[in-house]
Amino acid sequence: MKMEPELAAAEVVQLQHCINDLVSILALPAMWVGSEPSRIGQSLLDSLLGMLHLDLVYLRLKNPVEDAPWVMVRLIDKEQLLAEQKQIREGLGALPDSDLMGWPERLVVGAATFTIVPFPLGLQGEIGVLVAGSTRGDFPRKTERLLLSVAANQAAIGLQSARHLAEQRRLAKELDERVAARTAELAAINAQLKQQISERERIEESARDQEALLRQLFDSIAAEVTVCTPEGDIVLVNRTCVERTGRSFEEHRNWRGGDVLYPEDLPHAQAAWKKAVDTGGTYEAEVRARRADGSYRWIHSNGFPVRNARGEIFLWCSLHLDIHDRKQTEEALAASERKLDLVINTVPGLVWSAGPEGGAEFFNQNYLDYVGLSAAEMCGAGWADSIHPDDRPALVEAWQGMMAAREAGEAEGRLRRFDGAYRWFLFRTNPQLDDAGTVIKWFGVNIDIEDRKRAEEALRASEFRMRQLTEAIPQMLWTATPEGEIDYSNRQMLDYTGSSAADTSGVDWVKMLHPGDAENAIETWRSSVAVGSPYQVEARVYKRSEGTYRWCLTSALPLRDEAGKILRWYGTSIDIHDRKLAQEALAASQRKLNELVSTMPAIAWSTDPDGYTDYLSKYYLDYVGLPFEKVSGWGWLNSLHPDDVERMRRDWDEMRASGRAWPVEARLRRHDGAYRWYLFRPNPLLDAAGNVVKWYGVNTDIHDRRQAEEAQAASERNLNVIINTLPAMVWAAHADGSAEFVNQHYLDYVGLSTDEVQGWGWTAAIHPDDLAPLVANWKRIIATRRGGVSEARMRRFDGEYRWFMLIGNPEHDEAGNVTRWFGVNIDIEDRKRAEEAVRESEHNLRRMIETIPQMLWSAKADGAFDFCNSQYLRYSGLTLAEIEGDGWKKLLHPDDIEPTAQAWRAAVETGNPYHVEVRRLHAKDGVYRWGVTTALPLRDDSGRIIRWYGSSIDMHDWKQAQDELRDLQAELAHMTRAMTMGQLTASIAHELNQPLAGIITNASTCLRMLAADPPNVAGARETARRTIRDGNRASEVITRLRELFKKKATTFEAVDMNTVAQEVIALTLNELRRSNVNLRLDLVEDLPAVIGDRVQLQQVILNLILNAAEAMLEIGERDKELTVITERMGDNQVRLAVKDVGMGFDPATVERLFNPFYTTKSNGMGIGLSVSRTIIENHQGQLGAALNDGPGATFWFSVPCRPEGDQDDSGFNPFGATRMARAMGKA
Amino acid sequence: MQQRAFIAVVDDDESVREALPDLIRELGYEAGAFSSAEEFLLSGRISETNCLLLDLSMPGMTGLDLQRELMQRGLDIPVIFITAHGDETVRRRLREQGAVECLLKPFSDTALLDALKTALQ
Repeated sequence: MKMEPELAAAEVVQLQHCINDLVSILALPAMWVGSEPSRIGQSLLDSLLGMLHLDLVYLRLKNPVEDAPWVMVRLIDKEQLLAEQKQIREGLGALPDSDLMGWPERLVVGAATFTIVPFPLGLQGEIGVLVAGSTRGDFPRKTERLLLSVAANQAAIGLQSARHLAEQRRLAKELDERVAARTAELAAINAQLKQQISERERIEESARDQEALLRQLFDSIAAEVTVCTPEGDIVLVNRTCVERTGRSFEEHRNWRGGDVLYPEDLPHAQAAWKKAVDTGGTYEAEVRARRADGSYRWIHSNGFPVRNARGEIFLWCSLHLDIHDRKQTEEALAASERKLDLVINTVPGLVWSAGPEGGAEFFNQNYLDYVGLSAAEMCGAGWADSIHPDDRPALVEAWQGMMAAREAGEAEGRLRRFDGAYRWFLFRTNPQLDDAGTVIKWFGVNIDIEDRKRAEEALRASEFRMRQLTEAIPQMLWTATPEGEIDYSNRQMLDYTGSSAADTSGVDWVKMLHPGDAENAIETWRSSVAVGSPYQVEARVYKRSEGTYRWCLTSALPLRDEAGKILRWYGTSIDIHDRKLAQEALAASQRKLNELVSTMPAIAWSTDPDGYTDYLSKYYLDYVGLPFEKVSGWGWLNSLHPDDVERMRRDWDEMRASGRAWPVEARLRRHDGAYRWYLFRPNPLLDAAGNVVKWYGVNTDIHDRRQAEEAQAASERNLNVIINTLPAMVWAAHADGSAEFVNQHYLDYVGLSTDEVQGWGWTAAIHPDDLAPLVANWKRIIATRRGGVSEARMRRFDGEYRWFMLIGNPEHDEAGNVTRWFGVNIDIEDRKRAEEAVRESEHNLRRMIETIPQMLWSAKADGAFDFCNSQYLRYSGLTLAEIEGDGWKKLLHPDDIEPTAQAWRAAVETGNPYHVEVRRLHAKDGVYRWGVTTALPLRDDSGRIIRWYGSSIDMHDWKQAQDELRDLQAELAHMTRAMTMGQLTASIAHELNQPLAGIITNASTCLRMLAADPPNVAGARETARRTIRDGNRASEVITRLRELFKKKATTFEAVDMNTVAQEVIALTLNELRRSNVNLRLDLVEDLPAVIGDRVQLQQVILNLILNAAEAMLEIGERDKELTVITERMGDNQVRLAVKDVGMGFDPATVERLFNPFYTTKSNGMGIGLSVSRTIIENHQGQLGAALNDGPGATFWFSVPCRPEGDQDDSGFNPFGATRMARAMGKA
Repeated sequence: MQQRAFIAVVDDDESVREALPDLIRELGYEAGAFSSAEEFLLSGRISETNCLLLDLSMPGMTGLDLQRELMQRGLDIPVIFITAHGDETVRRRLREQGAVECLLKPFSDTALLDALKTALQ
């Protein structure tokens, strides 16, 4: 642009002013930082006002928060336009912020008119509006406009910032406020929480306290409590539980498997548990639980569930109470109840009980079984159904009556049995009252009285029947009291007499009697009643229907009790009128007959049908010499012999009863007292009906005949007695042999009856095996018609068979035929047995004789050989015939025949025992063999020899054996000697060794001496001498040895024991010395000689000495003392003993020492002592050993002295008897 | 000249005591005889004894006992046993037990000489 310079200068100044204002405006914001909009506004207005020389500045700011804008006005003259401020405010206030273009250019305020220019604050004036106003006319210059615009912008910016700031501040404040509020809120909450927490803590603590309290409570409960889950897992047990069970909590937890509960009760407990859990109800169980001491007691467990708010079970709490005692009591009670129950149910009665009101409560098993109903059906009132309908009402009434009366009572009624049958029962009840007297219970028993009732009924029926009977019997019956008062008459009676019952009781029956008979009848009745004797009277009784008196027989008998007291009279009356008449007619005719008969000279009689004799012929009476009165009726019995009366009576009764008749024999006493046999012949007289009307009889004298018969019978009896008493079986048989008669003895013996034995029955008693031969024999005998004998076994009554001899003899008739056999059987059992025994014994004997492995023979008293056993025959090879007599000589060795024969003769003559040794020919090998024959005589009681019995023994082998033995012994002795010598060998060797050694040494020395320079001749001589000496010594030893070693046969000679001993001792001296044995000799002087082998004896002595020395080898400290003693013994023996102090021996085994092979020596054969013993025994001596009192043993032997006067000591029979015996035993 | 060795003969057998010393002297040694082991021990000549000829079996103290006794005393005197009994086994055993030799009677003079020489080496 182009400008003029002055102008330019003024413009420049203006520009400068403008720029200065601009700068100032631009610096405004810096002042405005952090100021409030109001401040900014003020500042702005003030600045603008000053700067731009404005008259008015108006600022309106939108208030973001409030609706009312903020307005500020500034005027250049404050005081002036105070009143107009309001107008300005109003005027400008009405102008919108947004449409600034629409603003008026002028504002009139009072007198002033301002030119206003609005400037928007913010791009769209959203902040507010700035209005500058001036009264100048050039307002708004460009520069002013610009400045104002800039200022507006700056103000806008500043205001915006301030607004932001204010906003921020506001937000911050709001935030602060909110924070503070929140904080306060939180603090409040916190405080609340704290409070709650402390509250809870308090609660918890109190809860813990409570828990602890509860726990204490729980534990102090004096009962066992357990708590468990619904699953049954125990979570808590109180202390009491632990203490009482003795089981810890852990163990309780294992209740299902541990021992807290009794194992057997576990299933039950678990089942109950399950049930409780399933139902949610209480758990109840009675189980046995463990106690601290290990025992189990019954516990009642009661568990109840604990539910939560929702009603779900979350815990079970169980209480366990000890009910053991209670249970035991219960059990005891139950047991006692069971017992009672048993009693009640076993009582054979129907037992029941009912309540006070009568309702049945209990029935015992019997009752229930009886009625066949269950307790349920019976209880209450059901019992009544079992009562018979007809009896029920009465019974129930009675029952009610009892209950009302509260008293015991009884009633009868029929009770229905299980099978429907009714039986009468007696119901008995009894109340049980308490103290107040009220009924607690009714007890009852029903007793079966059916039988009683039946009996009663039967009785009643029977009585009824009886009554009917008595009424029906066509007989007049009546009964009377024991006093005689008639108290009953049956209908017949009443009808007959035409009276009523009243009339015939009492004594009014008298009225019915015929006057003529009444007195007698009454009299008789009275006396019967008084005495009690049967009453019988014939009297005429008035029969109403006929209007007449008729004869009646009245009889009565008393009925007595067990004591005999009369209970009642029973009587009958029988109309005997017709009979009587008949009787009378008969009597009349009888009399007539009697007269007839009495003239006959016969003992005749007659009786009435009852046997009452009413007629006897005169002859009868004369015969017996008694008047009729005495004989009639039954008196005639008195005339009979007492022995016949009974029989007569009996027969007569029987005849009368049966109506038949037969003769009876009896003795009748004659007038002179003599009894004669009579035959009583009764005969009945029958009427048309066949009834006996009368008996007639005649007695005939049969005395003589009878006597004859009796004599016969007596003789027969006699015979019978004889036959039956004979201790023999007597029999008679028919001609054919069949039995006719056997005596009692026979019958008794075989135990059969006469019938059984008859005919051929007797054969039944014969032993089956013997029967056939017997019968055969019997038949044969019969055939011979002569007597004969058989033997057979007969069976005794007890079944045992015994031998009998049956002897039979025939009876012949005149023709010679056999009519009968008579026989006797004699018991020969014992004889037979004896025979058997003898046979048996003979048989045995023979067997024995034949079996004995010995040759036995027997000879007659004169010495003649007559028997030998088979051994003998076999041995000899001869027959008995050949040996008999003196044939036995053939058997002997020729050299022995004569001496043997002599010896035999001598024996036979003297009767001394026979004993020879002979050689006999042994048939088998044809060799003569040595044997010993001995025989002894058998004498009878008088001492006479009856027989000789002998035996021969073959001793050939024995003899040979003996020889061999002797040889062997000699050998053995020799060997022993050799062995013993062996023992000496050491010693002998030493003996020899000594001189030998000496010889060698000395000889060697000699040579050396001679070889020396100069030769030692003297020494040589000496040594040579020694050599020779030693050589001699050796020679001596050898000689001794040889001698000892010589084998010699045993030679017995007289020897002196002392010398013998000393010789031996000499041999052993060295040995003994070497063994340190002190030898002592204790030889008695004047020792008698003995017979013996010197060398053998020496051997024995040597043996003993060596043994003794050996025994002392190991004895240590003691002196080895060996003593040899000889002495003379009482029984002509010489004894030598060797005593040592060695180790001794075990006395129990002393015999073993002498065993040939017993040895304690390691190198010896030990034969020594055995052989020594044999040697001594061969010398007839003894060798023995004994332990000493002190240490050691003594071995000794004794041999017999040479017998006095017996110089011949060479003959010595080694086969003397004793030797033989011993040798036999020893060999 | 070297002193002759003293040989002690101990034997209860008189003939031995009689004959042996002479032979020993002839063999060139000094000899002494004793009837028992006890006599020897009491003789006082133990110390000068160079060799012992001992009888095995003697009553009282045997030859073996004497040998043992000397060994216990610590005296190492060579011992030659002489015996009438015994055999090779015995001889061997004795030699094992320390004896120089065991001569079995009757023995030759050369045997004795050899034994003595061996003992005195």
